[in-house]
Amino acid sequence: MVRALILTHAQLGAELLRSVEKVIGPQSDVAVLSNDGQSLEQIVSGVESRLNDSPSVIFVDFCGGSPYVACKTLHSAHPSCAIISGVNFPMLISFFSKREKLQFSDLIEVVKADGLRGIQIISE
Amino acid sequence: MNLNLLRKNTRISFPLVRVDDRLLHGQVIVGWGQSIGICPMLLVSDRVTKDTPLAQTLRQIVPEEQQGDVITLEEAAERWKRGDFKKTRAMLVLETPVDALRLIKLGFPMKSLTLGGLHYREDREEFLPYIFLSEWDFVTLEEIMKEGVRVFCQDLPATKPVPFKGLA
Repeated sequence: MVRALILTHAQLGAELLRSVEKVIGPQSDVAVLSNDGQSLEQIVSGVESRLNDSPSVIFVDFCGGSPYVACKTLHSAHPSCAIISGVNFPMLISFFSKREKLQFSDLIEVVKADGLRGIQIISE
Repeated sequence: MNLNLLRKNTRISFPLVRVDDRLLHGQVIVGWGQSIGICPMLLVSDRVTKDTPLAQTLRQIVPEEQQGDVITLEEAAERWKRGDFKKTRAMLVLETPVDALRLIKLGFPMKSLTLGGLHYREDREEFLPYIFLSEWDFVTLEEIMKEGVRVFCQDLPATKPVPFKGLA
């Protein structure tokens, strides 16, 4: 099973997961981390301690924040993980419902596409 | 945030010099960079300059209009001496108070120094929720103040600067 790590500012990750679980039920193999009160070095070691050799997807809130920088510096040492920035609700729903059905490389593309497709404008 | 209001009400003197152990990140790039219009945005650190993958990542995450770069302390002092910061809205981000003192000793005339984020570590004591200092940091900051530098704590432009002197 592909593991998920959601790493964000404040409690965004925890609340996103809680909200997603309201819709599709409790999920396993998922960890949530916040950068609250941590230096870049501490964020890096927090992520590192939760990674192993099994394939995982790290969701971070936005490209340019400390969660993103921390994961990017780790990536070369952990090629079995993928990082997706701009985490949103549709993206996580997609990931948890499709992670057992798709190959890893397809999964990350589909998750990104579903995240984008979830952004719709209703306007005059 | 209303940019004009901010510019009118606060007199910011450039270059801004900030100590932040998250280096270049959201608060710096978005919170300061985009609202105040920072350019160039420089991480000044001998350590990070040598860490090529990290330095590369940090250069990539800064929006183009902010002209992000990672340079050594010596390079920063050189650029000052050449007058490169004249008429710019530059921000220099340092990883530690010691680097700030070293930059001063290299001839960079700092008027004020902002402590933007020094996070919890076992040997550090809490001064503000985003400022934890070791004894060594403390001594270094006292030394910096002896050089005539005003030291403030401030994480974001919209929060009120807290003078470091009043905290100890």
